[in-house]
Amino acid sequence: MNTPLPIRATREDDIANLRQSLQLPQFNYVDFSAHREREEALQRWPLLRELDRIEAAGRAAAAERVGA
Amino acid sequence: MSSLALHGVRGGAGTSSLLAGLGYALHQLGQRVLLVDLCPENLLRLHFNLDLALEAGWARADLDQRPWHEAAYRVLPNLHLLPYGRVSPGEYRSLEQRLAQAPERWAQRRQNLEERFDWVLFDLPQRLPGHVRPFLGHDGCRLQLRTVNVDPACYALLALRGDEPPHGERLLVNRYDPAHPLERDLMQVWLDRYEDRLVPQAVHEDTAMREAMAHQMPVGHHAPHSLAAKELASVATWCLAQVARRGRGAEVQA
Repeated sequence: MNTPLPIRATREDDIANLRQSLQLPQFNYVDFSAHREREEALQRWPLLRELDRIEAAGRAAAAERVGA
Repeated sequence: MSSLALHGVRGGAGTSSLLAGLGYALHQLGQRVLLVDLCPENLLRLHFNLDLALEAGWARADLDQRPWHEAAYRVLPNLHLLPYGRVSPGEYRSLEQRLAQAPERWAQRRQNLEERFDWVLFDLPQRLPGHVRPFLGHDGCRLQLRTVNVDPACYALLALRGDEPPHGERLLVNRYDPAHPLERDLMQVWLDRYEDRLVPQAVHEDTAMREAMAHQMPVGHHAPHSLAAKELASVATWCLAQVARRGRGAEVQA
């Protein structure tokens, strides 16, 4: 019943190691599959969608304050 | 040497049981550990087989103007517990006022305790800012963790708090049950939204946690092979790594 929680940090460590071993320049990793799953999850639960929208707005405002 | 504050995003998130299990896991890793109960409910002691009739604790001692540190119990060699003590609602409200007026009292005590133990773990209460303030924020504990359950109420409390989370605050997921579609979906959202704040080991729903309390033990002692005990051992290792990493960072800066 209980499956281990996917640990994203581990995956990112792998990507960081790969980048280092191949001497690749810095790049932003975008996990499209996780992004799609998140969007589908938000469609299923209206309150989560609303809370996520509030979180996103709060983060954008905080980023603006830092940039200002 | 290090201190950790565990604070539920809401009441009933399983914070005291987690703290008992985490303290035991750190002790199993060879650390000298003290657990301090800051909650007037005085429940942390139930995990350590203390006589239920015992009234002693630091708050009881403070109110009776006796030395607070004499209320600590040795559970095992190098594993100690400081209960809150039996206190009436009127008494803890009066203590709350006194603590709010003198936040330096517990800040000083914390410093003294950190010199005697490898880890001092604090179980923080809800809605008592005077009890909580000395352990959070910039001058607070080295590690500051919020206990969250993967449910909409916890997400609402996190998203609607109206201010930015304190720097360095991490979220420790408790009772995660991926068999429930809602929890699975919400975890997917949190892995994205709170990627940099989640402790990378969640503690899954496990009846061994409740059974451990019913046996008056921390989960690692009652059911060392349970999922929760193994996950708490991972969280304990993560705590050690965090402190080691920060220590190295400080050395580099120095």
